[in-house]
Amino acid sequence: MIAYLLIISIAFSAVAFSLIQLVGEYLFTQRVKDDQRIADNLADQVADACAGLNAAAMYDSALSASSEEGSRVLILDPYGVVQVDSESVLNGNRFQNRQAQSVLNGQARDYGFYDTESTSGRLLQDAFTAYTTSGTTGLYASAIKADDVLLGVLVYISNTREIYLSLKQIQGKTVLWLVLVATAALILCMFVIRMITVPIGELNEGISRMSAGDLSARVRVRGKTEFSQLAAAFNSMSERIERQDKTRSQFVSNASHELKTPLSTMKILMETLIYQEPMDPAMTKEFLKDCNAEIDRLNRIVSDLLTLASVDSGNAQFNRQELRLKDLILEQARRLSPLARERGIELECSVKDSVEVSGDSFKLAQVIYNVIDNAIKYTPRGGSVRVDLFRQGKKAVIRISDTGIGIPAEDLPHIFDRFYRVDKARSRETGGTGLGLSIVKQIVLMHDGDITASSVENEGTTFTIELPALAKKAD
Amino acid sequence: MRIRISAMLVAICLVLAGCAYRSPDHSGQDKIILPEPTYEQQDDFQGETGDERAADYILYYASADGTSLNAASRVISVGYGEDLLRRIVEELLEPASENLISPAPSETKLLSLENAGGLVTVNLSLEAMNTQDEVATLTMVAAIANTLLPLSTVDGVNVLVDERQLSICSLPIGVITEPIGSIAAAYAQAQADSSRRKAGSGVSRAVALYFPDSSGTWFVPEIREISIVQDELAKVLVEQLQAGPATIPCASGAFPNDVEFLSGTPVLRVSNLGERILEINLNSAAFPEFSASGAISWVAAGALTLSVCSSCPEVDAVRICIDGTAVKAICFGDDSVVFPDGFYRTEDFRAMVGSTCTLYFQNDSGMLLQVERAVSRASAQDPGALLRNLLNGPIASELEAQSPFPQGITSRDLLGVRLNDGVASINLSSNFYRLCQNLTADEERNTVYSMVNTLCELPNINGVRIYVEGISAETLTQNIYLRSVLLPNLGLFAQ
Repeated sequence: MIAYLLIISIAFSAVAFSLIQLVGEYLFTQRVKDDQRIADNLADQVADACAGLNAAAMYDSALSASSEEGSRVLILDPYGVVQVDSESVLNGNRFQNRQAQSVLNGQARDYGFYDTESTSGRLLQDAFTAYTTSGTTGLYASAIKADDVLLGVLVYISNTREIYLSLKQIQGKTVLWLVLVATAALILCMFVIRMITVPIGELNEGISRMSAGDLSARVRVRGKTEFSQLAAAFNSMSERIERQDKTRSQFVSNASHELKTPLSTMKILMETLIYQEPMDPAMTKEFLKDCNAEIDRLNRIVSDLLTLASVDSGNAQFNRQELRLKDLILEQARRLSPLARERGIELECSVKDSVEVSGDSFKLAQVIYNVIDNAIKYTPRGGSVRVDLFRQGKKAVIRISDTGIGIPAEDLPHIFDRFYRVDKARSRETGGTGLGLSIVKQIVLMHDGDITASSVENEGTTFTIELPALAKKAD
Repeated sequence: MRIRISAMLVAICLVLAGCAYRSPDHSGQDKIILPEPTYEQQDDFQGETGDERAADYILYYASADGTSLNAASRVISVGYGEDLLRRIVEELLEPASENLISPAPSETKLLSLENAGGLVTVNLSLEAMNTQDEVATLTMVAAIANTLLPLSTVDGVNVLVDERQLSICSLPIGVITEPIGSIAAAYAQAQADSSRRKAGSGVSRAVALYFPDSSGTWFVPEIREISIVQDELAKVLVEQLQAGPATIPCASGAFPNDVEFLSGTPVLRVSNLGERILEINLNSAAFPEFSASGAISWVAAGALTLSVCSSCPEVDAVRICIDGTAVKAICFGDDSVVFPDGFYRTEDFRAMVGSTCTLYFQNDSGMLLQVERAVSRASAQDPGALLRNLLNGPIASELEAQSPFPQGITSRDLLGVRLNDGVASINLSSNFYRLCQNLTADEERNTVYSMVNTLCELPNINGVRIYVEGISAETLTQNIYLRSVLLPNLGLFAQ
């Protein structure tokens, strides 16, 4: 801020100085012209009186011309002797003056400036000093001629005090304006600083804190400027990052737990087999079967994790092709029919429209399979699972509804979260890894679609998958 | 940060560089050489000499019918010592060209011309009375007045014939102070004035009143406007004389003004020889010396005689009575002069009519002091006489002023005066120069300009050059340059 103030002050000082000098030079030049004109006119006026040695007429002219304060008129003869002096002091003296000498030697006119009020003071060649010094007098010499014969010299002496006072006034006003403008500039700077740099600083601080690991760092949003938008975006980003971090942490925690659980179970079973007294072969086989089941489960978890990981990273193989959803659905329904029959559940498919989509057939098959599989697993015996396929505008809608146990309202928003299980025990029984719906959602999202769930406890659940449909082909 | 500081330093340097720029100061130490006069620097002239001057003047002649004036330009040459005014009037009365008609009757001569203190009294011979009529008389007077009034030293013209005032329509013409434009209009005015006077109204006329100077040596005239009621001109003149001078500083009153002066009305009588005598009866209380000596002062007699005779038409002389007793003697200091017939004429006092001159002395403050002094008419026009008055120390004391010259300088230090083409050259002695060497700048200025200003009061002198023993010295002391003609310093004096 001090730097700004200093720069502004220096800039204004330079401008003020230049302005004063320009104005001073202009005033000075005008004054020189005016005074020289006065001297020339006076010389013409007294020429006749000078030729006739009429001292009274010359004296009257000198007096009237020197009526202005600080002015003085001298009339010299051809030898530089003062014959008329408006102040009656120098009469009879030779006027030892450079300008008078110039005119007596042939010049029509000449002028100079002296730094004292006496005409015998030091001659100044510098006009700037002349009009910036209080005690400067200007001396203008003009030839008095009649018929080209030099009769004498008229010397007009004027005080430049008037210019000096004018300049002083301008100087004072300029300095005052300089101070006022500098102060206003300073206030404006402070305001601008407050508006621009403070938000940037806060944002910078937030980024630094985030970089240091504090994912809860947020920036205060002020106003409706671009900075506030940036702050809001930063806050949104940091929220997402924090949330994702939490989710990841939770996922790692859950994954660890899920992976650790079957391993723990297997270890117990193995240790039992190892350290227990030899058991009944049937028991042993039972134990080994359980181990095998846990290995299968572990295998499935790892497989699902890998699938999720590849989907998350975007590296999953994606073979996009035109598919008829009807075929996919019927295929998966056929594959799950035995399971449904076994559980005493009615599996029904209804295809209103033969909708075609662009997608990976394997992955979409996995989606349909998982959702129907879940519906079958969570529907008690005697219930039903229905699969509907229809076109809705530009979308292909697959609705899978069941008459199962339903999902509690508080769990519904989380069913697509990884490793989230409404009923852990039941899920384990059914061999679920807690990743199925997460994989389903990821695959649907990969296909630019959406999946939603609605449920009523003890009445059933409906999953709705929407995928972009290809345009109808004309039959 | 470093860049910021560097930028500020650069900016400061730029500003300081702008402030520091100054063109070099030329103190003008070279010696200044002024031109020197090339005319003769040595001329040891003694006494008073001058050149003959010739100049154009406008003279007013009479028209063919004598009722108007014709202006003609004439070249009049005047030698040193000659009276320009006299030459002009002579040329007017006897024109050199046949085409010009003299405004005066033939054979008219100029008896005398007196220029005293701005009043020119032109005394013509009796032939001037031979004009055809009053209009011709007025034309003659107007021609002389119009010719002389434009000259710088003339304030008024009084035309007399054989020392008598002329009258028109029974009124004195008086002193002419303004040129007469139209003779017919002036005559008509005179007729109107005459009618007014007869009706009892006052008529204005300018007259010459003669007062003694403060030294009691000379009479100096003063032109004054008076109002004439009926036939009381003489009474008014006497009353005005008693009032004293008004415009002449060096003059004093002729009579005491604290007593009743006039006793009765002046009466015009005719003497046995046919002279017209104005008898004036005065109060004895105003002249206490009369009872003791039987005479009155010459000042009183002269003032009355000169004033009355020059103003009252056709009065040849004055008879002064005190309480009815004729005064036949006047005293000059301890001496007295007897007038057996008791008649006092202008010619008895004419030689005592002087003129005023302006001298420049010095006052207590060190300024030049402009002083008027009465001197002889000749001296008033003589540069040498004026300088001698100036150099005469006692005169300064007499005029209550200080001499601007160092102690020891007298009129003997004036070696010569020469007039040439409007420039008076003064030759001073080496004694003068020597005594002036210790003068300060102000004293030197006063010394020089007392002489210059005094001489330049004369109409034919515009400037003065000063020599010392015939040599043109550079300066008198240190400052006043003497090799050039010096003009008067008009702001240096107090009055």
